[in-house]
Amino acid sequence: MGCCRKVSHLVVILALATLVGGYPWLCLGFTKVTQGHTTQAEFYSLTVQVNFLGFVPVRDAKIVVSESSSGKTVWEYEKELEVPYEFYRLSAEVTLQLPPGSYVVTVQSLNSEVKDIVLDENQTISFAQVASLKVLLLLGVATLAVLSFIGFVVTGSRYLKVL
Amino acid sequence: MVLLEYEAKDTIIHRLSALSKLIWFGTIIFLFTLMTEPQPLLIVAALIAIVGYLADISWRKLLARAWWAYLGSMVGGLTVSLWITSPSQLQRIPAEFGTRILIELTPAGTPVLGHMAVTYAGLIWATALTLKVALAISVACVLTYSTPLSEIVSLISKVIPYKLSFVIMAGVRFYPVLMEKVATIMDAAKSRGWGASSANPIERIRSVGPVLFPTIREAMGLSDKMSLAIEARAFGVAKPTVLKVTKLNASDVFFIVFSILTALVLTLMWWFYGFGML
Amino acid sequence: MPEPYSVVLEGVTFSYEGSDNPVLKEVDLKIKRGEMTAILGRTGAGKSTLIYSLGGIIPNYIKGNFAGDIIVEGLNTKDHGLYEIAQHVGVVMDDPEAHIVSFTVWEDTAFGPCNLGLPAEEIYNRIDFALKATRLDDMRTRNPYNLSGGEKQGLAIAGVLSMRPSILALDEPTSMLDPLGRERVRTVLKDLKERYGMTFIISDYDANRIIGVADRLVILDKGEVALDGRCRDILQDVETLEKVGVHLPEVTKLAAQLRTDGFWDGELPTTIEEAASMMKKRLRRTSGPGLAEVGAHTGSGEIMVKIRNLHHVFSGDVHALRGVDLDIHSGEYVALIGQNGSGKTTLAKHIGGLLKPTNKDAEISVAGLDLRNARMQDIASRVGYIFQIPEHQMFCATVGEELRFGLKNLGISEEEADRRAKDVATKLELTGLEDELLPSLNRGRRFRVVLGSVIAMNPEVVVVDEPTTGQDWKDSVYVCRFLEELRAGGKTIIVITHEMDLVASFATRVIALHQGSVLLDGTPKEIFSKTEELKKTWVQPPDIFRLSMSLANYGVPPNVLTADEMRGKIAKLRGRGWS
Repeated sequence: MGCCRKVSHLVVILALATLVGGYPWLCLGFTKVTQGHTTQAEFYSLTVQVNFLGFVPVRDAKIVVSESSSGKTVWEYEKELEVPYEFYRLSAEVTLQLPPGSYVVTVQSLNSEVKDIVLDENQTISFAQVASLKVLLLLGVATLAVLSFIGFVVTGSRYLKVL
Repeated sequence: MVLLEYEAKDTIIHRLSALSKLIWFGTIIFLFTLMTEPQPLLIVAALIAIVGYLADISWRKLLARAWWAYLGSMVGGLTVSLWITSPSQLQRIPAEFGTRILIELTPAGTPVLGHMAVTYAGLIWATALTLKVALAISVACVLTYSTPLSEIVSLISKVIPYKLSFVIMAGVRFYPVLMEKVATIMDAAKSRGWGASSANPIERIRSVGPVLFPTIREAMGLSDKMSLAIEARAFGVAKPTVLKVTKLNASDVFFIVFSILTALVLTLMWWFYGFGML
Repeated sequence: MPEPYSVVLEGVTFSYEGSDNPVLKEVDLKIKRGEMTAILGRTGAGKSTLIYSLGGIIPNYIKGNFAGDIIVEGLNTKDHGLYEIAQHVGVVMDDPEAHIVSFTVWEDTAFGPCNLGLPAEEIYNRIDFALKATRLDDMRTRNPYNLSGGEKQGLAIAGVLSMRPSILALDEPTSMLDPLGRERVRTVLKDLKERYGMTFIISDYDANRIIGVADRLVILDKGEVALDGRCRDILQDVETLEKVGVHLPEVTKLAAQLRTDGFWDGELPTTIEEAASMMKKRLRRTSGPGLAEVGAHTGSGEIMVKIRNLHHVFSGDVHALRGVDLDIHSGEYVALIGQNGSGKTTLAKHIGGLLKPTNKDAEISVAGLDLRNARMQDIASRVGYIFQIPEHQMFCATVGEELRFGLKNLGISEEEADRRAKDVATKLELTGLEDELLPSLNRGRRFRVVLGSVIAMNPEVVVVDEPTTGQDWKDSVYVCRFLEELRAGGKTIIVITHEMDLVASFATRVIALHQGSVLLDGTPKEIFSKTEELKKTWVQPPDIFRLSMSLANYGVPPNVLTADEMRGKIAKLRGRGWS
């Protein structure tokens, strides 16, 4: 009877070892399987819109998505964001697919902005306080243009042309 | 030649020097070369409208004189846009949207004509072109309305020889005089039954001959008399005194800065976001 | 001590390049400093050539065979450049348009001094002087294109004045202008003479335009000096003046006729005031005016031109015609008078089918043809329209081709066209000139060719826009007489004119326009009697008419039109009061 107990212990040990050893592979396989499978059911799209002050698109921003619980980065985007073709679009954006869950989305340029989201449906989030060098340049030039116009109107009204 | 002639008024725009207004004109024309979409052109239109309003320009008069140019540019633009059918012609508009065919005129591979169709991108481009022509005319009119041509010519004469600038000035000066004579000549010819005799376009072209003789004669007579008059007034004898020195005051400087900066804003938007790209 | 003479001509002879015919023949003249000399003569007498020679334009710019000497302020014109002479002699041509090269009045005035490279301050002083002298000071920023004819001529003078010449030579300065424009130029010239002591040489064919202004008259005939003396003295030689084609004051002609009749002795008057004063001495004062005759209104034939409620608005809201109603009858000779801008030409162009009404309820028909929708070919066969400047209406190279031009356009057969062209050439004394090039003809003949080209088309209505512009008096009278013959033959004549003497002699009806409306419509006698209303149109009645008005209390009817008529009236009064 003693040998049966040894064999069963051995089987359990071997099974556990297989389980432990094979778990990552299984997870990967499982993820792959679930990923392939969840385009149809278990991934949601998250559209991240980035602008400055609500009306100037910011294209050169880095977007990082990490899990709220573990803090692990699940997605990083460092390329220029697209401004979709419309009559006028106020934001640059990118759309990514993520499994449902809680995430922390960070947008970084000259400054950064962080938002927590719970992804349980297709969502769009906006970041309106991220400034980039290009945007600041654009706004600076525009402000100077407005000021110079005011200066023109003020100074122009005082002069009379005399032959 | 000049759709809106100069009118001596005391507006804020009239008081600017010719240089400031020419720089403004130049920045607008630069933007036209860049933009192939209507949206930024609408911003340019607003700028021109503001300056035109400040110059107290008569838009009705302008429209009455220039409607044919607007119509012509629209027809021309729509015609050329029929060939905007390939994704390679687009920079920003998504190809599936831009090349979507609304009306197909000739299929791809048609000899000589090629693929001709009305597409969204084509319509957008045609709208932009029409806007550009309309705005180019408008900005030129604001310039000529608020600036004596002589000031523009004397500015140009700083970079080109005086005699050449005088030729330009005299040409512009005598253009309406000559046109008046031509109008009288054509009226006189019509009253002799000329011009209406044939529906054949070739015959009609041939029949221009009789009107050309007096026109050329008048033009040459005018130039002859003018050359005599200017020679008697010592033209070309010495280096001419330039009476009006272009002095820029504060409002000129502000206006120039404003013109350059607004052009820069739109250019940056074009560069950063493709705003204005087809 | 400065020379007493500003200008000296010694044996001046000139013929244009390619021509053996001298235009000036051995001309000797001395013109005193501060003198205003008028050079009178017919077209082709050599007046313009003389003016251009004084300014050094001949021989420096216009080449030819030049002999003799012209010394201006000590400079021989042969030895100095045009611009050098221009600083002593300013030449103003008859067409001011060619003089004006800039876009504003003050810039154009500055053109000459700027070209000389003078300091800016000096130039500004000269501009001030020139614009004040020509009364353009308050128009500095105006575009010359928008100036009136008189103002443009003033600007042409200013442009020359700013070169500060001491002598001004003007070639028919008022021939292209309306009466208001002429008066403006006269005033400017008088001012310049009186205030600045400048020397003037003015060419013209009409003595009326220089009376009261010129000190001296030089009469040119075929390039030679026929007469030279004080203005008043020269005007006494009526026979010579008429022979050389100078238009004399009507009162002078009248007095000369009365002298022939033995009713006048002593000096001939040159102005209405002088004539009135002299005649009052010879006539007995009566208790009231002579019986005024109204004159026959010939407006009873078939209606040739019918106009109802005609409006025309040009772009820019310019109301050129405001509700014009008119009937013009067959056989009428209608003179359209009025200030520039009153709507005369616009109305005439409507009748000629060259303009369409801008209001839908207007009616306009000529010889039964509704002009609103008619083809130009149909209109051209009914209405002949002749413009002011013959050069604008010369479409062919030769006289013969031009006479056939309209006929060809109407599709008339070659045979018929030849017949009509020959007929018209005979009537207008153009026979033998069929192969002549049009530009080689003098102005008077060119106008006749243009007239012939229209008459050959056999229109029922003939519209002529200012037939006297740029023409001398003889040619003007010739044209009016020809039109009168056409009228007598049944045609309807409509003439736009500023020459009231011709209106008095030829018109059967006068229509005065003012601000686009018909102000007055009647016989010449009726219209000229309405002096207060006529003032609005800046039109003055003819000299003889005004003379008769001033003799109203001396038995003369107050509305005599012509010298011939006045002569007849005076003859009737012989028994009443001649000394």
